[in-house]
Amino acid sequence: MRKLIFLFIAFFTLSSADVVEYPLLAQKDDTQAKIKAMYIYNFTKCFEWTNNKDGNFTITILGENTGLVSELSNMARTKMVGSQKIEIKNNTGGLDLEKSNILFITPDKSHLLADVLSKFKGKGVLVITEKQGLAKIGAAINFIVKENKQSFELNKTAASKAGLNVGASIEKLAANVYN
Amino acid sequence: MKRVKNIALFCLLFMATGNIFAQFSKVEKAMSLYSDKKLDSALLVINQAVKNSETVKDYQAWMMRGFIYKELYKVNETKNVTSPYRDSASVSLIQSLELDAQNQNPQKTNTTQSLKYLASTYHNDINKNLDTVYYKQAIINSDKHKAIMKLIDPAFNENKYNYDVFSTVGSMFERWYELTTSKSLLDLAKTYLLKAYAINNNTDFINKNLGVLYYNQAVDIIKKMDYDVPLDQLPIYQDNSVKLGKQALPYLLKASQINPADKAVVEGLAGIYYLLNETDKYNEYKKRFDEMSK
Repeated sequence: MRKLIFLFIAFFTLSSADVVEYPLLAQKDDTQAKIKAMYIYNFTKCFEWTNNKDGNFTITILGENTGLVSELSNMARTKMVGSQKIEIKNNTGGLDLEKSNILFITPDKSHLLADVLSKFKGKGVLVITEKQGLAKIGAAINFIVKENKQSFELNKTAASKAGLNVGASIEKLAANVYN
Repeated sequence: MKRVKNIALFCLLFMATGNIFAQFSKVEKAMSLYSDKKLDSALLVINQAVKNSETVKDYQAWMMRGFIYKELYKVNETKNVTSPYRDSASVSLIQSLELDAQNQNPQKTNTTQSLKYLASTYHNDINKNLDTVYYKQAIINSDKHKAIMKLIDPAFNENKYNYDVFSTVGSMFERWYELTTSKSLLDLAKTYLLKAYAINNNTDFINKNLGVLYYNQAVDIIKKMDYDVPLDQLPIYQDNSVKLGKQALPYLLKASQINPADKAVVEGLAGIYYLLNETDKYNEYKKRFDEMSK
């Protein structure tokens, strides 16, 4: 959500204070997208990709989330995963997906989860979702909201099935862990 | 102009009856010099008069001193927001009113009107110092305006005036904080806006300003985070942001209650609920905002 910048100055005149409003600047600041991007960047350090170490480190967003695509693109300009450059892709269509290191599925594309898991089983793709209950049915990471904050659930088995080694630190920080 | 003529006429009358007030020769002389627009000379003489034991408590001597200083201010220092001439004029005219306990001064109206004029100049000068460096002078001038108005205008609403001054200074700091993100400016913005809020918390202006101030801080925390912030620190940053978002909420809700048609407030509420991850309420205010924008 954008940051609001207003200027409310009551200009003094002899007889009265007239309130004048100036919208000075409207700057895009999607707070939720920033937090998710930071979580995703941290996940690149918490999982070990045993394969997929050649070329760019690819993060694909399946579905529409322009805020997140924008934040991840900002991040990719300055950060790397090991020696790999980060590449951000956005697929708003269906399952014509290329292999990625991380695949984020937006809530409106959650119905594609089973197909995605089937397609990328054992291929080292970290699947992240954002809908209640999806960690229980196969997403390795599922974003949830807890006490007004972004948090996440971890499904260790799903991560293993995807061919990823799970770091010890992430387990302690997950809101819920499923085996 | 009419007032100047009245004062000059008064001076002539005063001089015509000079024999009655022989002991007040210095005051008479000052009046004569004032009428001749020899202000510097008039000032020398009247300053001797008000130090003289015979005239130190004479309301006419102080009034004359006030008129002379006022004219000196008008001629030399109208662009000086810390004008010593204006201060001396105000002090002298106030002294004159206070010495005239019996209400005998036939020129009381002129004295009051001169004070009103001086008060208005203090007030108008507030704007000239509305910045982060000289704001204290703006407050000093507002205090001087207040001191005079309380004396000459029984209807003067000191609380309302204080509210106007504090909210103006606070919103000025809020603006500069938004442009610079300086912590000290933020603190000053809060200080003055909360002072205004303490006087009157029932305006959309003050609620909107405070709400936006807290909300923007909440956004800033997230916005400024580096992507390298470790995973275990993320909840801490979020806690701080959420805390500020929750502080913003009651102010913007009240602003919305006072003025439901204010689009900016509705947008602000949508922003807060988004920040707080309260999707249903975010959608509600976003929808309302979109409808208002059509």
